[in-house]
Amino acid sequence: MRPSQTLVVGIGSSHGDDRVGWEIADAVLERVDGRAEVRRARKPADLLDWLEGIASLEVCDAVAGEIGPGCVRSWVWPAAEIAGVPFAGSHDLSLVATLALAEQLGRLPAHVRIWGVGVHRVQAWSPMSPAVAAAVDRAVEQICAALDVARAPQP
Amino acid sequence: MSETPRTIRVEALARVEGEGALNLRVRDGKIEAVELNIYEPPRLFEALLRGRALEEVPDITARICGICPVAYQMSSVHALERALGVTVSPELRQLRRLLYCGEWIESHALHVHLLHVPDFLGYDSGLAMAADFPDEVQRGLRLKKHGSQLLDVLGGRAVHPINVAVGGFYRVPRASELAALVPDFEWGLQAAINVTRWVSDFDFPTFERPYDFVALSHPDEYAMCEGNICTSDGLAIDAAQFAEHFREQQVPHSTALQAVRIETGATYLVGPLARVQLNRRQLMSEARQLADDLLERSCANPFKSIVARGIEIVHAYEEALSILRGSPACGQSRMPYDYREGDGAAATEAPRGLLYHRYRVDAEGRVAAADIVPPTSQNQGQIEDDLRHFLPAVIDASDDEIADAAERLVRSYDPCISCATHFLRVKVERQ
Repeated sequence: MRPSQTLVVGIGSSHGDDRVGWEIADAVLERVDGRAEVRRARKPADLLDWLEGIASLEVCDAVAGEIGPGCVRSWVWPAAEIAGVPFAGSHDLSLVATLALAEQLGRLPAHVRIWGVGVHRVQAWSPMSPAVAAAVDRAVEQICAALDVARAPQP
Repeated sequence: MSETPRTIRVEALARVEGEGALNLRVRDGKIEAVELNIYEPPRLFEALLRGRALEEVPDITARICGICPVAYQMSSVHALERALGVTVSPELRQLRRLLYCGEWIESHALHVHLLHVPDFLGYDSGLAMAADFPDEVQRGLRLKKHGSQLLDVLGGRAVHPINVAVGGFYRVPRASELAALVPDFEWGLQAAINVTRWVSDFDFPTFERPYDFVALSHPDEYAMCEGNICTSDGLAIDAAQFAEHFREQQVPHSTALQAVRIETGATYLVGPLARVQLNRRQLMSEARQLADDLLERSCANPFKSIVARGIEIVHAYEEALSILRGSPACGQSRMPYDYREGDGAAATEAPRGLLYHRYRVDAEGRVAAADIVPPTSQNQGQIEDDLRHFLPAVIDASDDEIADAAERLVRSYDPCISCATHFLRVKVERQ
């Protein structure tokens, strides 16, 4: 059976602006009305356990440094420029390494889009900065629009 | 007339934890200098701890390393508990060993499958290897995940756990949380045995060193958290005597201190090979059988550390299963204590080797002094010495081949550079 599910994953932690992936996942869950599976991840490698039966993956993570705080960008895998994007976090496999490994293992969905939100303040237990908090709704709108496009009947 | 020096530099060592370099200088076909250059900036954790409440220490020291945070937490709480005169209950001690099993499984499985095996199979990376060996890589990821699961349940989260407390834990897990892990760990034990037999069949360079192995040793168990610090030549000391027998010294080319034995002035080796060779009798049954079958009692070949690492994964699964199946009593989470002036030292076995901590605390429960000696600092001098003896065999090769051979040897020790900074690029100078 061909995979058909759509999976939306927000990667994050409890620490300041690094929450943004989780906040986006929570907000998307309220909007998708069962059209997609939505998960929170603590680290990119969590993805490797969730890809079976998934045809389309939308994954959202914080980006430190490369884009301004609160800016939302997306890349469709494989995008050459993604290799240089400093997604937040220095532990375990990076998001790009995780996706590359999933691809090598033949487990990567046919469609993968990566959403990055620029972050600024990643301190333990601190709230999100206003600029990043304000980006959540914009990112959710864009992800939901992308999901709608993906599900629209093809001519 | 001597030749122009030949310099070989590995600017950034690949597939090691953290960032460091290696500089080699060759003159007249002989190795003149080997410098393991740890250039990550000093992190000054010992100074950062001074004046802090002692309860903060396990969480702060866990930040030293994203790969072996449990080791830092365990060495710190054991040292502080000795300073305070606290003895944890047997049940809490057992849960701490279970947590440590999680870290060994996670760290060793990652190193074996994604960092070290590619050297033996001829790949540049675990990622490149994954296309041809998908089952093996996925097995490694699954084993690594089991370790993370233990850290999640016992440590509160898999990265930088937050549940280890002076006196015990902030929260002990429910028996049902632990029992739920048994099926995965039963699969993992068999998989770990297969991994160890698989890696033992690799082609290993012929290279033996007269190592002075150093590791914790305990009469009743494979030492992780407690025991005497023991050496190949028969020294057996309490951690409180560490500074009388081991000395850290600065070298100009590295931000990591290097350790030597005071008695001999010589380098020594810590880590899985040292542990298995000093403590083989204490391994659990499957691990012991594998050690006897696959690793000679006299083996001092650093490249075979991958076999020792596999044996330790098996041991960790056996011990974890033994604890998980035994329905550990999860009652009192922490032992009470009163503040008092005191001094406490402890060593525990991080995946990479012996990790020593010493603290002096004041009557208000604040840290007055701290001393931390990580395993990679202890191994750094030994790694340089081993390179001096290994590289002459490949000295006529191209610079790239020499650099590659040097990196392979360095990876055998699974150095954690970020921990050691107070550490890899390879540069070879030929003269």
